[in-house]
Amino acid sequence: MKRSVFTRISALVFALLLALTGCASGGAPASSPAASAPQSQEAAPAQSQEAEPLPATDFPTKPVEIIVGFSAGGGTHLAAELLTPEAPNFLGQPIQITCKPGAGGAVGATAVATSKADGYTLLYATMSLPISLYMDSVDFDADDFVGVALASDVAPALAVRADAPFDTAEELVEYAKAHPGEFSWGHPGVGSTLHVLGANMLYAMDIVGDVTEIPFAGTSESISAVLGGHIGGAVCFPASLTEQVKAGELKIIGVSSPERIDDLPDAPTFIEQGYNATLTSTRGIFAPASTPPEVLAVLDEAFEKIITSEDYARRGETLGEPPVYANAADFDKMYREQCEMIEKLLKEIGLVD
Amino acid sequence: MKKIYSDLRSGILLFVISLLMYFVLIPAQISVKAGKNLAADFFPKLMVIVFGLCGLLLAATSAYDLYRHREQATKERAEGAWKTDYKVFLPHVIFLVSAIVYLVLLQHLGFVLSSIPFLIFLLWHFGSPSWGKNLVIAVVYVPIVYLIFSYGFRIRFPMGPLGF
Amino acid sequence: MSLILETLAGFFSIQVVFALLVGVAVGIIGGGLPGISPSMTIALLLPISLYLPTTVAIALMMGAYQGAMFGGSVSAILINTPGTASAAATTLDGYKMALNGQAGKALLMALYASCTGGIIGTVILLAMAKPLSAVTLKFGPPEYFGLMLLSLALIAGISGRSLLKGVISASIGLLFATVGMDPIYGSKRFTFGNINLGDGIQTLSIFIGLFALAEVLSQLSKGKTELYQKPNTLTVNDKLSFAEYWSQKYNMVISGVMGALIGVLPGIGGSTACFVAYAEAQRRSKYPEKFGTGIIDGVAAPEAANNAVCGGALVPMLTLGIPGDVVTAILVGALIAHGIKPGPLLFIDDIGSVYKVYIALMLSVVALLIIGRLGIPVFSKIVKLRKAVLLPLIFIICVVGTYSTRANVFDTMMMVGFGALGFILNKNGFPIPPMVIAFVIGSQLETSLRQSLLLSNNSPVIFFTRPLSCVLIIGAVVFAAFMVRRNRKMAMKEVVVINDAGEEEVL
Repeated sequence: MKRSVFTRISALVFALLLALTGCASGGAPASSPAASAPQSQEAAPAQSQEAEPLPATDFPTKPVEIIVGFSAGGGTHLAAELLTPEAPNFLGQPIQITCKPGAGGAVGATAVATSKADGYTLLYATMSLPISLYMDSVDFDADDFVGVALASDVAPALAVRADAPFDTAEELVEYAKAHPGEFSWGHPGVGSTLHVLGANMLYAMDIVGDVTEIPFAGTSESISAVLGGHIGGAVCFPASLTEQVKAGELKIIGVSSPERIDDLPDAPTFIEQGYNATLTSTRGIFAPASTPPEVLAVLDEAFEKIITSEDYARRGETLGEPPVYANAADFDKMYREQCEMIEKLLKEIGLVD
Repeated sequence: MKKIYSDLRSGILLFVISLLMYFVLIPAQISVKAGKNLAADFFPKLMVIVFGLCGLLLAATSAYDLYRHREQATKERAEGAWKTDYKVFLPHVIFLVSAIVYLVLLQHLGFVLSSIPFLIFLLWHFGSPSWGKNLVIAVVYVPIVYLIFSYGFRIRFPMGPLGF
Repeated sequence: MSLILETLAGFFSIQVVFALLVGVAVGIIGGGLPGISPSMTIALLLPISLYLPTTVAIALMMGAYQGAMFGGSVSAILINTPGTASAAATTLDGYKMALNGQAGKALLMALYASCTGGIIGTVILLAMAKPLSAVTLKFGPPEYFGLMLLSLALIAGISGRSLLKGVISASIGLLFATVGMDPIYGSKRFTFGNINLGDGIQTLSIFIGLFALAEVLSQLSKGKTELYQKPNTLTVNDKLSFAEYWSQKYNMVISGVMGALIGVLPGIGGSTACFVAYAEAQRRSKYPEKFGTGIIDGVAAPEAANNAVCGGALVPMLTLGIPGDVVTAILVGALIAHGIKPGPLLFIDDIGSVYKVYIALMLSVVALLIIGRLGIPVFSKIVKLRKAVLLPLIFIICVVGTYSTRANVFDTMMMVGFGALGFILNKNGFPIPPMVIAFVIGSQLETSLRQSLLLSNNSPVIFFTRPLSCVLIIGAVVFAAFMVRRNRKMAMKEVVVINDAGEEEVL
């Protein structure tokens, strides 16, 4: 008798804690405060490019959903989660993240492209969005989306074992030409951002045909294979590499970026070594193209405040995210340029025919 | 005997399916790119061959067993001991069809609104006779499940007209 | 030494104890609910852990990790629905035990085996982290292939009476594993133009469909009247005696060690470990034919293995900064957010944090024991429900569970399809476990094979010039032969009966 009472009380305590857990994470849907923040009331004409003022809107009146096309707990998801804590302050409503993984982000993108364009369903995507447009058969077009904000920009690096017989990109090129087919490099999957960016690096060094490309299931597996000497090098984002480099297990041949990056200050960029590989991986928020402009303006302003806030920068730093931001107009332009460039690049490198 | 007969059927079916897959489905569904590695259809074809051959083997051994006991086999067959009464599977078919209907409705009516009537139906179908009791069970259980998964584990269900 | 004691002292605070207990509780609930995987549970706790002090946060996550690995067995035993992929093997004997009125015994065995496995995993982590990480690195694509082949060979043991049907099931499972994107070329296979199949069939759809839904369908055959009967609540022999627990000691230790070692390898985790441990326990056993009828050995092995995976997966994470599975990948993020940088320098620069993780893992086993013992009487009540009521409720959970992984109703439809398939397979005597494990290892098997051939320029010699992969492959062949022989012997016992009556009967 005593034990079953104890059990019931424990069960109640769990349920209570579970409920508290749900609320504390700031994602409880029902308990949304009324749209009290005045900045959510009208479109801010100062941000807008149009001559006449946009119609007033009380968007948002309920939580906004951001769909992430990758698995829960992964890098993209965690980066998207950086947006949520400040949302009630700057947007007036909570942001809810839903992960819809599949087909390299395409499942999530399709979900947003086919959703009601009222501003309540947004997409958090990486460069996989333009890539999937041209490498995959997908049900959406480049024009189905419009950029809202740039949230992250990470530069990939090519890493090899510390005892490899080459230190610079030039030496790698020499080695590859002298021993065609021997150098093997790994990436986390065909069609992934790192695959395309890695192929771009090799294309810039003109050794695409002299090396062997090995797809792996993820970055961890490819790094593990490099450390174990099974493959020659791997293309990864710096966050996965910094500890290994510091410990002297891996060395960086080059970083694909216009300038040296803070995470790996001693790693030379490809461009400074004379090879034109400067593409980085961007992540940002998109909305369906037919979203009303007044709603987009509200989102634009809100995300600017969220992403440029100190809190966001602080939390982003712990995840290895550099502080970047671009507003809707700039990011949209970036997106269109990326689409064009990726289309060309994929054809040139030979990843599509 | 009935079991051996069923094995014979399974074996033949598997063999036929393997042929269909090898010659029709695989070429249709897998586009083979030229490359220095094993082709994309190597592994699937290998698997299809394996179960095709095993199916053939299964059919062959069952046929042989039936032949060895052919007197008893013919006797049983004449008595109709091998007839499969397909009516027995009617409840299963009803269940599966209703499940598909439910999953379609789920996307339009939202989780709670579609699950409650479906659960009531299912409870009756599985043998719980009292509609009143079923209603109570459904109306209590479905929202609890919804709350645990959506609030507790932050799963986003399809939205229905009422917003849940 | 003093640092260890200091760190240990840091754990004796109300907050930490609370975090351990809550973590385990949430883990068990998440693990027990089909569709909520351990990684989802921990991903959920991640935002909360960011606001907590480091020791508390680590305690929370470790508790959840262990809890989830045990939680999966609760639904596996009670409703034949693996709550997590790593509990799939627990359904084989666990559910049978529940059907025999021994649900409590099964749950207790699962709990104690989980705790034992958890301890073994932690011990292995403590004692052998560095040497193990060196071994891990030796595993390249050819070695992975050899290991997968070995796992496949063990399947022969869990095929039941007909090895031929087991091979058929396994090949179909491997075929299902090919659905999706070809790992080397990226071309679509068997996707029928449907974007939802682009990544292949979701593991949970197959597991829940083949185990839970197939069972629901087969129960439906019993007819409305019988399903509405109040279940026979005569819980015969439902407690677990110390003697029974102790009888499993070798089983649990061996399974635990296997689980930990499998966890060490990146990319392989609980779902493989539970089947390998089960098949190996059956192979070792003096009464292999009893496996699958409802014996505690069949519950102890997979449960010890899957909790030992926790400790094992932390090895590459802590020593190399390489996450061994999805959960440890999230843990890496959590640790980094607290300023702990997993990697080769961790043991040199910040050994205190390493001790924190070790101690948290140890204590989480204790927390698991406490919460588990409290929870089991509550969970067991489920079997008291009439089947007519329980089965529909189970189905709704199955639907929600399969939906949850990707917020995609398509996965649920797949589950229904697999349920029908599982029902048909059962009716025709085809075993399901080989199909499931073949599916789990299928993509890794094929990928490793093709990666190896890429490295060796299509020359199969690579498998034999490398000592480790050579050993594994030969081991696989030897195992397979051994299993075939054992299977023959088991079948021989029954042949006599077939000749007499013309019907197959089990001796």
